[in-house]
Amino acid sequence: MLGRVKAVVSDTFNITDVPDDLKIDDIEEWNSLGQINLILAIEQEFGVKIPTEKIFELSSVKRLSGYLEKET
Amino acid sequence: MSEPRALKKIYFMSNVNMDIIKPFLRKAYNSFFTDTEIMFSGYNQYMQDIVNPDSALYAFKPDYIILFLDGDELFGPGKNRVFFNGTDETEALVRERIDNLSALLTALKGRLDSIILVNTIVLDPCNSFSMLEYNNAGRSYSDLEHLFNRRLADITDGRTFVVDFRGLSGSLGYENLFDRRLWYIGRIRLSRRGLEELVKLYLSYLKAIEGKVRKCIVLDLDNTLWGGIIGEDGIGGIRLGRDGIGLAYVEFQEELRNLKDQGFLLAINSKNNLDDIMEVFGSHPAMVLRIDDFVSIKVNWTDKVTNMKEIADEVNIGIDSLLFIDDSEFERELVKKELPMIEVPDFPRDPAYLKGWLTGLSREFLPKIKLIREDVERTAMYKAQAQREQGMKGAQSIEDFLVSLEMKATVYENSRTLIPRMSQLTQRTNQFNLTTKRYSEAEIEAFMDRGNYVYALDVSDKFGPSGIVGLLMLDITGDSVMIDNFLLSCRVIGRDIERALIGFAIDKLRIQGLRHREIVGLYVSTKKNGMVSDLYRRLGFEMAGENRWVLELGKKYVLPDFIEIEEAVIYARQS
Repeated sequence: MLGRVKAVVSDTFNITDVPDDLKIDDIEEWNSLGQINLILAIEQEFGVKIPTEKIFELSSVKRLSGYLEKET
Repeated sequence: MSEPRALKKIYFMSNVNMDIIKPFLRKAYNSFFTDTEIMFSGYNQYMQDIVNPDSALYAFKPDYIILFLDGDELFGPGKNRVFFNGTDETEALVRERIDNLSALLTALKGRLDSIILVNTIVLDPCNSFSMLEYNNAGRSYSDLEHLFNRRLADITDGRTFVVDFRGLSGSLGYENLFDRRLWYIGRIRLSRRGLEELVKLYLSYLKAIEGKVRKCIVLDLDNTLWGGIIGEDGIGGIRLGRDGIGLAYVEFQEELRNLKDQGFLLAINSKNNLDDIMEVFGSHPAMVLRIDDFVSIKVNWTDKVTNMKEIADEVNIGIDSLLFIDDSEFERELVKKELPMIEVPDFPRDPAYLKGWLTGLSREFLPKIKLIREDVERTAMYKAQAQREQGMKGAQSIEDFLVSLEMKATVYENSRTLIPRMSQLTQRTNQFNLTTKRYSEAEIEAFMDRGNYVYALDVSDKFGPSGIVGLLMLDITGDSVMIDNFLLSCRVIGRDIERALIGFAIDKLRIQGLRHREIVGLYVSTKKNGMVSDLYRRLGFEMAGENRWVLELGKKYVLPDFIEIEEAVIYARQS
């Protein structure tokens, strides 16, 4: 799960190295617009729909993996 | 096919937050243009951008300006009152928005030459008025959308085009293209799918404008134009008609005929006996396409690759202008492998999807925005050309042949009506093209507005019309008359028509008594226009520098005698 999430992060922000604790604002591309792009990419990859209130909450690799583990 | 220009600058504006479209745009356009620079306006800043002469928009000088308008946001909360207050109110609100947009576009066009793309708007169809809508005379909510979109047609011109986003939304569904969550968290309207589809939609318009379009659809016959195999099932056994699945093939043929009437050419590449095929075309009552609708017919037992090359050759177009439709995976793979420049889409397994597949394909490879006279007559013109070539083979000498053609030419000076065809010629002509300058309609208009002369040449002969096949653009703003662009369609090469066009123009200038002493022609070498490297010498010009030719304007120019040439009286022509 963590691996798949990191792959989406890597692809969305065009970075090769994705540390486990990477989160929003750690890198330039992962700003609020980047967060939205990431959520859309995660939805496509995992076939899920993220509720509105969670879109900005799931703003780190750890939180995303945690959420997806529970929901899928 | 014309090549896209090296760098294209696109400026994107919207009344909602569209920053998110950036990566989708970049990805799509970098594969189309060799290089794109895309600049974004701020959220809902489009009015300020246009009104402020010092804005980034004007400094950027984009080739294309895309304004994406969201319907619900455009009308704002006031839209909820119109149904209750009656259609006068509906119309007033639409009028206000259209007038505002129109004024903005006028200001924009006054300052920039860019091509502008606006869109038909979409209102959320899930609203409180949908059941009331058509049951209450004198009241309408949806007219906000319909009337606004109708009125958009009034503001289009040579360089402002309307992208049909409403149509796309109807086809794919509002719920698929829009994302309600993103609206609340970031004033973003579209879903990921919506962004991808919108980008594809814009791209098809850009392709049409840039002339990067396929020209000829090459078709197989068995299990493509009808169900079954004529050689095995016989004329009574093939599935084609108003009953059952046969209707899918009838409707497929109807769409192909529509494409042909839009100016695309059709050809046949089929492994069959010609007699069997002629029987179907001649006597099957449900056939929509006739044998005359095709410009080239390869019905034989030769391999389809050889046939393809012959088709391109006969029709005198590049192999990269072809699109191949065949139900056989074997044939598709063979052609793809041997002739990779041909577009070979995968064929739908279920004939029920043929029609939709074709229209989707045509958006991608055969996009068309404007219809001109030439388009409807194109197939007929290509066939007349084939007849001329047959005639040429039989003639005793070139001179005899040219006289026997009984050519008549009409020259149009600065005709605004012909601007779309003229622009098309500059985009498509590669061989007989002296400077290979590509012009959009707006650019040709601007050229005329500067006081220059644009001559368009219409040729016809005893076989029929060839249409507008020559273009001569003369820049008289300097000390010498400069031939800015001089081109001839490949249909009429080899008949000395160029001499008639240039001679006529020179005589006209001479009679008008311009101050200029000489006319200068430049040759700009490209991979494809080697045939005209010494054209000016042949036309009697003197060399005056590298690829620079000069002719004195004092002398009378000798026109070729086998072509009758006259000038059109513009007001007598209908547009």
